[in-house]
Amino acid sequence: MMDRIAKSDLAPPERPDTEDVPTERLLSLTQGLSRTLALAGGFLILGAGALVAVEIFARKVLGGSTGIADELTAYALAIGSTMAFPYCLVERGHIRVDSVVRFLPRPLRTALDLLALASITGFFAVVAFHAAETALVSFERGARAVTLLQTPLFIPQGIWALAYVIFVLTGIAIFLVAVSRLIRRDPKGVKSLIGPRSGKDEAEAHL
Amino acid sequence: ADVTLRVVGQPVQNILYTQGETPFFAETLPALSDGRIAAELISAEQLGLSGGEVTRMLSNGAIEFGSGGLNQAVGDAPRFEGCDLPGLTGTLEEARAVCDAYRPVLEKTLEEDFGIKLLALAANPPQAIWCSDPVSGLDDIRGRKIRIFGQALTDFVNGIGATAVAIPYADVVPALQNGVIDCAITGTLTGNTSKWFEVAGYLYPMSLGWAVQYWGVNLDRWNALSEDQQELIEAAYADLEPVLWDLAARATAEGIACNSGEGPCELGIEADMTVVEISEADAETRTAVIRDSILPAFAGRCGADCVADWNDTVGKATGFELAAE
Amino acid sequence: MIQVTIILLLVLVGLSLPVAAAMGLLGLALTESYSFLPLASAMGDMAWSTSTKFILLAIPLYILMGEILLRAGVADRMYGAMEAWMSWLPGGLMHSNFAFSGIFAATSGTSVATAATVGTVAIPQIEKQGYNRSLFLGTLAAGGTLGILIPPSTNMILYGLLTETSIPRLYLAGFLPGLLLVALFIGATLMICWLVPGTRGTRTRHGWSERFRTLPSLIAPLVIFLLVVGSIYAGIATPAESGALGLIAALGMAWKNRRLNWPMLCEALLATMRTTAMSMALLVAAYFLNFVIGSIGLTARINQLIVDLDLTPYALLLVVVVFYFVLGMFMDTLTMMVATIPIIAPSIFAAGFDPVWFGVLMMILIEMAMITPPVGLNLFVIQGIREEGEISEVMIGALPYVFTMLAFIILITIFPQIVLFGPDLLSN
Ligand code: NA
Ligand code: NA
Repeated sequence: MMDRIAKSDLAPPERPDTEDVPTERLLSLTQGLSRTLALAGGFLILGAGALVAVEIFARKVLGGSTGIADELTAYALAIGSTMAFPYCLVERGHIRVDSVVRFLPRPLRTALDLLALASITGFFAVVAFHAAETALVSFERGARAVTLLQTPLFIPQGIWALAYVIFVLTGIAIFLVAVSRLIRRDPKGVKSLIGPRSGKDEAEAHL
Repeated sequence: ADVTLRVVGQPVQNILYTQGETPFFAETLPALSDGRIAAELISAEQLGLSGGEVTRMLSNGAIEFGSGGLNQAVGDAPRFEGCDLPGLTGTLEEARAVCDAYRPVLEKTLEEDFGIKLLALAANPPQAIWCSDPVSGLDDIRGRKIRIFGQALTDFVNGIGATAVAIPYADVVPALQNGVIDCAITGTLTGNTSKWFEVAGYLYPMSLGWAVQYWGVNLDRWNALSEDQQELIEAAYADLEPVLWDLAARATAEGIACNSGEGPCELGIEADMTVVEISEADAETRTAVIRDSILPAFAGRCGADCVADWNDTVGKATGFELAAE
Repeated sequence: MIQVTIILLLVLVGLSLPVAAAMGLLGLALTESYSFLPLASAMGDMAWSTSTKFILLAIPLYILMGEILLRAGVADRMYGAMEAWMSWLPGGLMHSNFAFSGIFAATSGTSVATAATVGTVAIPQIEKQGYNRSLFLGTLAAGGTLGILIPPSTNMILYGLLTETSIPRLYLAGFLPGLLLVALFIGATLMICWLVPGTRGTRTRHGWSERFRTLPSLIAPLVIFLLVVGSIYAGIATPAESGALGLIAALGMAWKNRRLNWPMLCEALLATMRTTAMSMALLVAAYFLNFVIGSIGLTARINQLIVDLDLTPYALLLVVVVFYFVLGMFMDTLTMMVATIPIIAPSIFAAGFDPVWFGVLMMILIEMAMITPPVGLNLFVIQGIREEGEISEVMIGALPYVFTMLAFIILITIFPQIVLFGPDLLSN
């Protein structure tokens, strides 16, 4: 059941020979890693939910406040959601408007699929650079959160920036796999890897 | 114009923006320079900034000219809140005098640590406590749940024996109404224009800070200007500063007048709140909380050099003294 | 500058680049062309402050709650109850679909989860009872949209964040219009069944005792609604926090129905995180773009342009509604919100419209966008569930409800009290 989600239609089973291609091994590694990271991020969010419940209990029943819930949950949200970026990319979860390009010839659409992947990887590479910069500035200034914990900000920001870097590496890995499939004349494989999601994919993701 | 300044300003509803920055950048500055200097002003709010990011962006050059709250930058440099700690100063005049005394410290921190040139300082109406249930003094507030923002206010609220709760500004009205919180802290005029008086009948106007703002320019951008331009802009900001303080004084007066429904009210909405008188005993409590909670915590955050600087400036102006850790 | 920006955005989005990338790259391109300041340096601090906004925690919590409820086995019995109560009307189960959607919407923060749930339980019924397939599918797609109008609602959270509007007030404002829209949907369906032959399907009657026996299945949604929405007004939790209570209840129900296990939890978490990551990427890019277009003076120009048009408030409103209607045909709704609200909302508020009222209008516009062709998420979801036939069937079936929503927009414009009654109750 879990496998259905992880692999979905990324690795068509009718081509057993792909096992030997290095880029396909890279792909399954990327898929596994991204899924693990997203799950970890999910548990961070789940933990944040639990902490919020503790805070409500503390306030309503004990008449106090943990004083740390809003800060820690904010970090969990930033880090957890960014940790899921690679998985979202692997699952082709980013919104693309293909109303126009769906009428273009196949090779052109493949080129656009590659461009789409390059664009999101490229933009978030810029974000990753500046996220790292933010963490670094926090480190140099000794910046601390203005909260009870006075958390040194470079710690959560550093982890967060690292998640962005992993996203960029994921983008590069998928790009390599797509190009390799293109060279091996496997347009279907390219489409299932980086093509826009169909309505059916969309529904499946929510079921 | 020879040069057009890109300026990031105060929140759009704020009098410092509407009657201070807007006419200054649209008319005063161009007039003073015979049209050689123009400016395009936009509120930080319209840029999607919550205010805390402005200092870092002035520092890295993403913002050229801008203004931001000192309290919003304390994470990067604890010194920033030195002249605006909760309850440190009782009146706006006092706050102005104390921040003037502290100016060299701010100037140095901004320039050396952040690459920002300080151009002006000003403030807002006081941060006061708004409560839904009757209040006659600090004693009544003990044990209540109070919406705060920032650690210094948490220190103060804990210092008077209340519980600090962090919730977003937009949710304060329903939270006050249904009892998630009993009281909330914000500026007397800000809360008024957000209609807090509809759910909070009691205003306890002890100032817990003045949301002191600084106006500055990225140093690289500043150095790219000619000497003439620099002189002109610096002089213009020096003229702007008293205007801003006057606006703050007017807003402070109206903050009380609007909420109580007594006196002229043009900037806010006339309401019918009970504005509590601050007793002698409460003033003493305030001094004790500052001395025993706020200042030691500040000294701990700020470090030894900062303590020395503070004692030389704010300490002399207020009569308090920080002990180094 | 305005033309260049719009054309560039259309080209980038039209080329089917991911919308987050299109917005971000547009921001970088505008910086290169129109700014002498290194605006990209703002990205790190902006992205951090966007990603750490406490209120945004509500989004993954609501989504996770929905994903778990979807798998918790509460929907089937709920649908049975709606069938017992509603299917005697001409049009039979189609009314049950709307009633179910309305009730499920009160436990779900998104329209997609609502549509997916109602679609899963209802689609097997189509063939059984001889309905007009197209119309039946349309009721599912349209009913699903209620998920964001009836609280809780992730889209209202986003709107509240982008416009600094109180979320509890928005929630109260959405409630009555939500119920009214359910009634209008049911009314429109009755009218179609009356006018168009062959659409009525099979009417079934259930005795009163049978009806009352189904009521316990409504306890689950009631508990979730009371925890997530009720807790806000009972003074227990803030909107950002309330999702945590609903999440715990949803986990409890799944556990009670013996559906809670490790693979199920992993699936729910992964589906949640995929949507959360997508939303966060979009928000980070949108905040950056908004910063750039503000910094280069474009926001000021657009505002000036709107002022120069010198429209009356209602003319301005009409322009905005038409704009969103057209945009909503082609664009994803989340994108539509984050890309346009920061620019359009201030003008609307300046024209004297209430932010809470406009928020509800916005929700209805978004609901409409979800079922207008060619790009409508709910159409895709319903089509995806049935796995056969042409999507055009769903599109045509949903059209009557697009017109119903348009009529509803006119109604709340003439009678804004429908929206403001709830929040006014709060302030008196
Ligand atoms: Na809902
Ligand atoms: Na649409």
